[in-house]
Amino acid sequence: METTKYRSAVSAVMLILSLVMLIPFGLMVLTSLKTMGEIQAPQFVFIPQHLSLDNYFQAMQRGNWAQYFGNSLFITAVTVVVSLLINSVAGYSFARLRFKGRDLLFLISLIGLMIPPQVTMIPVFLILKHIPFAGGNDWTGQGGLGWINSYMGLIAPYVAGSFGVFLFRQFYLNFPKDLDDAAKMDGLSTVKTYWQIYVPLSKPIFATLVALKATQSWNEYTWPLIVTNSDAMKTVQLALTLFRDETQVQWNLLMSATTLIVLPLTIIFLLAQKYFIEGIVTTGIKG
Amino acid sequence: MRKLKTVSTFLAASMLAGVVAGCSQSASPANTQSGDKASSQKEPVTLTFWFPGADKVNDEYFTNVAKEFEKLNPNVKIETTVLPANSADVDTKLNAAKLSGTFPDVFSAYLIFMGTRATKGEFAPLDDYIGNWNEKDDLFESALNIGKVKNKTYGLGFYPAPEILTYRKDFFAEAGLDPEKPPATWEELAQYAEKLTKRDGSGNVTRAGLDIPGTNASVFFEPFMRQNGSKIIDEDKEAPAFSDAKSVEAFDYLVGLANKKINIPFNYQKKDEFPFINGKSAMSFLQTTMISNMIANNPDLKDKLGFVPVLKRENKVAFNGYRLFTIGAGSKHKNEAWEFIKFMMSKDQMWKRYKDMKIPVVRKSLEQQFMGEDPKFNGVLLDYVKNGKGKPIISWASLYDKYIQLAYEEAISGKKPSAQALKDAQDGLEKEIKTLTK
Repeated sequence: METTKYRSAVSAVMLILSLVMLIPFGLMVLTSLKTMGEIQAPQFVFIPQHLSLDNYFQAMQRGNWAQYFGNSLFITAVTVVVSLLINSVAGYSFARLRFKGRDLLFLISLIGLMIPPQVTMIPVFLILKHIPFAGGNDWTGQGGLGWINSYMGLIAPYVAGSFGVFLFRQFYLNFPKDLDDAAKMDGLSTVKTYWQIYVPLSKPIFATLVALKATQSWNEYTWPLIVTNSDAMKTVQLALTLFRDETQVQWNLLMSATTLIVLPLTIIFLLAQKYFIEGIVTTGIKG
Repeated sequence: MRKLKTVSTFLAASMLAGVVAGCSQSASPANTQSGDKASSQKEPVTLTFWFPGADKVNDEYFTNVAKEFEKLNPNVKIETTVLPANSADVDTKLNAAKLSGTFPDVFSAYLIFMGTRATKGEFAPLDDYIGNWNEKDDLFESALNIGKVKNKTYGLGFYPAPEILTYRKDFFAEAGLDPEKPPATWEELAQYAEKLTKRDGSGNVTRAGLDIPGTNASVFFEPFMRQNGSKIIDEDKEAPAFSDAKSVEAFDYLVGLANKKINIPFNYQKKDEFPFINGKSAMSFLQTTMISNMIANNPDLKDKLGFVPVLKRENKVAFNGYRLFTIGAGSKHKNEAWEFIKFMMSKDQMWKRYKDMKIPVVRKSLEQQFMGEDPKFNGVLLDYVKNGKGKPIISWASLYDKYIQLAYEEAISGKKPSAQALKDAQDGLEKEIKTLTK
């Protein structure tokens, strides 16, 4: 009886907190339905007088949104798939294989977690600019733009990342050693053990990283701002600046576009939610 | 037989190719003769042109104008890049471009970049080009001089952005003031502001008489200092000069008004949060784009807005920001870049910019035509453009801004008397400049 009461109280608090968390989202949607006159009215207008999707149509007519969405989807999809592969293989190696200098290498990779991205931004930019044979560069990496203003430039810096490696390593440390022994007795090589035993058992951590990487890549603003020069390479986050000029933010259009931009991430999160929570919880337990 | 067929097909194809090639070769000289001889001889050139984005009309204009130029100059291709409007984002992008050697050939720069970038040699001097340009005398002095840094010209002003004292005629009438007789002096401005202020039962301001910002307000208070006779910065000596009696008097005037509670404090950088925009103030200094946005968002306001000519005091001076055309110092195509700038400064393009985007003209020969379009508003607009001065052009512009804003905020919040706040700010700035130059 007491437990039921306690649970109800907790649920009520959680419900209230959830509603509070939804307020910004709700305001975003409501603002996306208002006119600028209503937004700038002396008295706050909560519900718009006429509910219409005009702002959405107007927002999507500014710039080439099919291209921006296409770019963001492509960049995010490739980043997520490649980074899952790299991070899981690296995490597996650090957790399950024994080789010389393993722990030192892992420690070095962890340093990446401690350096803020703003510090590495310019060095990474220069490296990408001097990629040999790319973007008009010669073999010394001179003469062209390298990977600047290209999909590679937008994807490459995000495919690795020590956080993903750390997450996979912690997850794979939970697996019993007997699993490796059994695989060995069945005659599986290291690669096959990873692919046929570990990967199928790693759904929670894969889902976690899909959600985290997709959010990071989809929401990135500063890097695409620096590395792209043309409208054809713009991502959705960069395109949001279309609704802001020196003197005014067109909140109605900005909120409409933002609502649409948030949707793909919301869907990914809802699909991966179950595994996401499981993954975060289990990475902290050492078996 | 089959082999013979293959050989004959190959021969026929080769002959056809020869005929086509021959035709195309013979067409070339004919084209050269009839076409523009000079342009066909010129090597193909790709210019990069970066400009800050604004609304749809602005972005389309600058993109299309590049195409127009390409048509007239077939050897030139222009790659346009729409930048974010935020100057901090533009700065980030320019830093990366500088590092990677992708600095644009032509760049539409905010005035602040004259101090922060021209002084570091990132833009090419335009003096020789301007000297040989026979239409230079048609430009307003302010457009020619705004890009001057230490006697060299690094930019040509094309987009004046004055801050015009705007008022609500309906609020004037409500307060018993003549809507057609706006304030002309500081004293009148203070009197009008008091009369126009509305307060609730507890004395809280519900409608401000005048928008007086609380933070990020240097663009707001600098014209008052200049009108009162302060130099603010001695640009010849490159030294701060704002702790003089004239600046103190200007600060005291604004602090006095704020103490009378005739305003609703706000952040001057957040342009769409001005109380005036939301109908909570009767007078405010606004940019032309803010005025046109206001009318576009609320067409009823069209006949309710009035515009005050530059206030009379010791000096007739207002704030007038500018955007300037610049050429990257490392550009390999400076001549073509200058041709593009000349095209952008032509009468046709200037007038098109006015018609499409309401950007004021900066050519003397267009003045009458400009006045004829909207005599009342454009007359005031030109008054601000001609008597306008922008932010000081100095290499330590951002440092100066930090200290002068601090002085204002300390004075307006009552933390320090104006004289003390200005003196402390100037001392602090001088110290930092010394450290920088060591």
